[in-house]
Amino acid sequence: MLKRRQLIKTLAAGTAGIWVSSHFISCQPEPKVKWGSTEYTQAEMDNMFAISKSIIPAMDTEKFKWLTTYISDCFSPEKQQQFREGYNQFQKAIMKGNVKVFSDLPVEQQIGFLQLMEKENQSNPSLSFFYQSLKGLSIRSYTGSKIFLTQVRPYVHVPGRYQGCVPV
Amino acid sequence: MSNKFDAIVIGSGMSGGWAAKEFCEKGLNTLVLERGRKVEHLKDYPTTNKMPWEFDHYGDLPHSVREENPIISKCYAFKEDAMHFFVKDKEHPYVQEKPFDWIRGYQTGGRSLMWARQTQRWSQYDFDGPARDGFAVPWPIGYKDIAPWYDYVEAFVGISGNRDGLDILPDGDFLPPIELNCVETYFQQQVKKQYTDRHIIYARCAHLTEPRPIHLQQGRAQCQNRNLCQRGCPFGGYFSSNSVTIPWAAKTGNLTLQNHAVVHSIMYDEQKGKATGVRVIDAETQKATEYFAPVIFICAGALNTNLILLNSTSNRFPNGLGNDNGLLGKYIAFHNYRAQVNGEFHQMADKNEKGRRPTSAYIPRFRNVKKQETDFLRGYAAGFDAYRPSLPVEGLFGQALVEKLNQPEPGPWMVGSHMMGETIPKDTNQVYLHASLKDAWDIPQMVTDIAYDDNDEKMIADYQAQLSEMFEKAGFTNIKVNDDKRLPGLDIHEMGGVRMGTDPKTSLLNGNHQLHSCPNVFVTDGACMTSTSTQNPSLTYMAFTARAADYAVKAMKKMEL
Repeated sequence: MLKRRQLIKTLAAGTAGIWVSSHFISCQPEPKVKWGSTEYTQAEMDNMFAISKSIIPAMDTEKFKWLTTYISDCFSPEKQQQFREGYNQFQKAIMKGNVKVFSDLPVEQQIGFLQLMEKENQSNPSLSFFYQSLKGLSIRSYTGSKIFLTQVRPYVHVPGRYQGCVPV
Repeated sequence: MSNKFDAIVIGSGMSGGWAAKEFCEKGLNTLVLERGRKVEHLKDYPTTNKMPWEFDHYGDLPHSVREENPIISKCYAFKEDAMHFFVKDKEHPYVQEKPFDWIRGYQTGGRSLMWARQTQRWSQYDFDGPARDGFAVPWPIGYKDIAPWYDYVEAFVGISGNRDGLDILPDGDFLPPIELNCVETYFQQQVKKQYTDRHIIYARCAHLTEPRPIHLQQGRAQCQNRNLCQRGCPFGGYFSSNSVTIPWAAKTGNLTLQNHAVVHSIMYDEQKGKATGVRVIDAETQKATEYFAPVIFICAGALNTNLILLNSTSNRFPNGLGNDNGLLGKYIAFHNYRAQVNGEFHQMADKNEKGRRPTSAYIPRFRNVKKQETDFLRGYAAGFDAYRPSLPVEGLFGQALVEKLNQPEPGPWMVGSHMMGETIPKDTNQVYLHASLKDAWDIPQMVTDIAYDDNDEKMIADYQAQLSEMFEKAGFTNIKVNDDKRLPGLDIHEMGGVRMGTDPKTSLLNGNHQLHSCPNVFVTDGACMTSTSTQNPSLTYMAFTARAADYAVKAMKKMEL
């Protein structure tokens, strides 16, 4: 786990100077990172990255940067607040497992937790909104990325033709 | 620059571009006044070659843009890649007496740059509507008058289509069609088996599927199925004023295109009994200038054409140019796009479509075509398409999710239809000038007072019932109907206010698009429409404009104007 955490920290710090983890400095108030109309601590951002990476293992700082930009630019302040509340709910649930953050859970528990999240729906709208938004945008950050659209499923900018009926 | 021209054209969009081309080709020194900025073909399409990942939000609109622009954000094409071609809500305010979404594009080419490129002809059944069913006033022209002009503009524009042999939707000399897909073809066959009067056809569209020499002369190439048309096409694969009529007119050396030219009004000379020219305010400098010509074509876009005429007051015309009967601005109509029907098709699981295409299937009007058969007037056409989205990725995460995204599994075919209903023009559906509110150029703001009526509600119910029945008979399942309650205007087919007719007491324009009481002023854009029928109207505006320009030039030669 520690290895993964260090990796995240390194990646985060590599792209955005503000993403220096303060998670372990528990004796003083943690500085907040302004994210759209809400605020998160750096540790929370790291945690969000870790959850996102569990959903899409190809998550990296570039994709995560796109995801965070999307939320701050395209979500209304109300939706950003709901996302924040949902994150708090998520975190509360995680801490019941006697760990501070998602990535501290053993892998099998992470999987179990995400399975629970997949089933989470109307019973906790904010939690569901947080998880589904994070998942949806993690997916888009991957399927919309240059690497996906050039190497995995190449986007043809100038197709030149259309075929109406081909075998699957 | 001299301020005297042989012809002035107000607007450079679908209709104005055609007026410019026709006049310039016929040797007239022509001034085109465009209120928006310059957008030149190829040079001014900043996003046309951008890859999907190069957009900050992968095409979506930022919340701030949506919040600042609640009206234009409803438009399907107002996205990250093309929002620079649309008028923002605060830029040009108007007053909504009743809610109306006015979707505008102020630049060279106007909305021809971002249009949906659907080009279906009217038939005589469409022109017969008002006279047969007793609404509005009879059209002064019919299919036989406009058919040669459909031929004329279609040859130049390049229309892809099938010769379907339907009297309700006459054929032209089409370029080859793009394929319908498996399920669209299946539906076509099923409908043919079940009905004698309903047809699923390929939707004719203004795309060069096989350019002819005239299109190559225009500097255009074959449509490449990019489906990025709203950005402006570097191939000239679809028709726009920017790629076709304006550069063609410019090549003659007879075109003067004036951008940032906001038309304040048409000037009228009482002694001559004619309009003499146009008063223009420069959008950037506020400087007023007058331009003069013996012929003026107003192609400003339906509602702005109304506004210009209403603001053109004189002793002779205190209520607006040509408005002796007080009907200017009234009998506005539009297309009813409110309803959709969707379903699923669980057969043909071994088939899919490949690639993208700029059109789909079309269902020509089948209600009340040859006689009145329902409790509402007129009818609706419909779009139809089928596609196979990937199966959802619910329940998946981690490597299993990535694998599914890398190799998505197609789900069942989805089928969808949207209605395109005729609305009935009424004097209560109107636009007029606000008594006190002015725009940035001291021109009164437009008031929109336009709404749906009971006929529209009945038509929506019938469309939903009939399409559901057709879907059910074809074996589609999970059929769902929807009424999205969209406001008038979002169809982007606003029409009327300066309608054509035979009688000056009940109409504004004659059969040649001249104002009855000021015959050197012509209106050939959507404002001239006596009724709307169901077809996407741009092709008809183009044919009207070419026909009227031909008439105007001949009349000028005979010294009749």
